[in-house]
Amino acid sequence: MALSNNQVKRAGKVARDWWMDPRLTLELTPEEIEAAEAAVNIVIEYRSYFSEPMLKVRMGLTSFVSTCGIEDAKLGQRLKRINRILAKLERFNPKMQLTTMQDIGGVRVVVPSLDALRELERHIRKRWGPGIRELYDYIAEPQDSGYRAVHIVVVRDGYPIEIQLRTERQNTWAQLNEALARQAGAELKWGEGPGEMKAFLEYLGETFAIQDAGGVVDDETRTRLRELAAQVQ
Amino acid sequence: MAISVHVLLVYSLADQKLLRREEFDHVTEAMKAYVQAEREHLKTNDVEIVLIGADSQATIETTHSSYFRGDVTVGSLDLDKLLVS
Repeated sequence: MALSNNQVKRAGKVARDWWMDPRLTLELTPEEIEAAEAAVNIVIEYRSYFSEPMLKVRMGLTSFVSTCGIEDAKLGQRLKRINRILAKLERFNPKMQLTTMQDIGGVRVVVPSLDALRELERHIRKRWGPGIRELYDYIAEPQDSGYRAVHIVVVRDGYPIEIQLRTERQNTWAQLNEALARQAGAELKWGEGPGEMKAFLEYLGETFAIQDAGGVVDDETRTRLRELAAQVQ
Repeated sequence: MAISVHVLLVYSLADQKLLRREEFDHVTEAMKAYVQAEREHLKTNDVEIVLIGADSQATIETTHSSYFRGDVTVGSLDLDKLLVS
């Protein structure tokens, strides 16, 4: 039987609180452990509902890529990890509920150029227009971290699926950002981490954006990038 | 283009390397392994766990390349290579 909206919301809160609870399992009462396990199981079950809609979105995008004549596009999908879901619920508590989270299921599309990205974006808007819940253009307005992409949340079979459209350079930047964040033990995308590293990544993102727009990187920019890189410990 | 390959990655944050890379043909098996791995590390931050579906392993190495970079630092980056148009 499908879970009710209230069951999911409640489970999200209980699981989030348990996840944030600094006490060890040994210090919890049997009732607390039972409640936490039940809540986590519901979160896991709820997440599984996104699996099929996510696959359908990826297959649809694969077809769009072909229709648009985009070569060398790469498409990958993932269901958000449970403890990432709980961390996000905590970070955006109380505004965000499990039932309002939009990136439990995600499909990433990496395309060779900005033109290809915009062409694919237009096609998605044309074909899936009424099913589009949100569109975030982080190329026109990059995030503070320097992250660039277009995110489109589409609703498929009643479930929101987040599509991330990135150029190869934008994806290189995002993957580098993630790798460095892991290394630094910081959430760079949430503004954490050493200032020098953030400054370097921001400038690298700007440089990649110049290249994506067809510009050439001059010597001054290269020198500045090297200086910023040298300042990172 | 194949419909799907599912790859489970378990990445050690302490060692900055992949501990596990397992490929599944069927989503049910992949999900079972994903949930099991997650349960083992639910309240710990020692590993990253991700299950990625794509048409091939090569695609995953692009779309989620950060898991395959290993130990990376800003100092180790080849900036000229990075800026090749």
